[in-house]
Amino acid sequence: MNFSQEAAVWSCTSCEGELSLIKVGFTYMKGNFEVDLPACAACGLVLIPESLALGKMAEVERILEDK
Amino acid sequence: MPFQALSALHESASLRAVTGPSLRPGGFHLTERGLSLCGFGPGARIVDVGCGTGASVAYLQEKHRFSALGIDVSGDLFLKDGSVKTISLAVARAEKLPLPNASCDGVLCECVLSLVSEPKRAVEEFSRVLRIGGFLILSDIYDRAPDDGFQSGPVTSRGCSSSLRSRPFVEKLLVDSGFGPLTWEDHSRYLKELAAQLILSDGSLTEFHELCTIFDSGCAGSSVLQLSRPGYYLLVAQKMKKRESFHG
Repeated sequence: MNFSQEAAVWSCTSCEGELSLIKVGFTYMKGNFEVDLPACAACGLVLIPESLALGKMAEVERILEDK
Repeated sequence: MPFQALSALHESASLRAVTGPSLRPGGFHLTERGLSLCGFGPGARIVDVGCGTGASVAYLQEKHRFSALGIDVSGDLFLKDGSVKTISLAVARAEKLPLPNASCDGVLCECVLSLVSEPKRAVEEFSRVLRIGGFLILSDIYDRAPDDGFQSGPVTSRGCSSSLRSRPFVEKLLVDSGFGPLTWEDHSRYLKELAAQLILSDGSLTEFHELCTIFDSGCAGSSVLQLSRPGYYLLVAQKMKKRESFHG
């Protein structure tokens, strides 16, 4: 399931608003990155999909750690 | 073939979305770092070889007031960019620059030398167009693996070629063409961050795996771990008079 599909099946736990993809900036291991993530259109709460947390971020970590 | 594959990668929309118009690791941060080691004055004549979109040429003109010229083997990128109205660009190979001898104060070549089919000839051309005391600013991908001799050209393995070259190979190219002393800095962090950003950018995995496959000297496939071997360098070298040539 890609992030657009994730946005369609989740709703905001805070205000029950619909989610849409927005560009989110974050810092990880001293690197600055941007990724389009599902977020509440009303209150801005960001959903971090499991596939990002356990999949892509693990790959990112391995690259940045030079393992 | 590595040249075509890398050219396609450079021209991909996904890579451009991640890097912006600079299309390389480090962007203008590395350009600035290289310039800071040269001390060019206003109006310095700088040629950007492999200028791509022409973004660095515009940057050199607008930010530093240099007299900048961009040269690229493909006119496709800068024609799309629309920059041709304000910057000077020409289509030519790095191995045959359309410039007179000793006509430049600086040559900039960013993330390009690994794409050039005849790097020795290209570096000789950089030397030819530079005046004595002029500077070459190079940045590119290289092989960080322990030196196992001077790799003399592309390595072919399992049906795919790699143009990854070692630090001694690159430094020897420059010394043999009359450059020295050499300032070498490792900026592999920029390459890793670009790879990480490509992974994070939805739809960019194809380009990322292509990058891994092209630059992995073993060409074993798609594991992201293989990107740990390639590194990224910044190298600044000064053109010397013949008797001053560095032979270290």
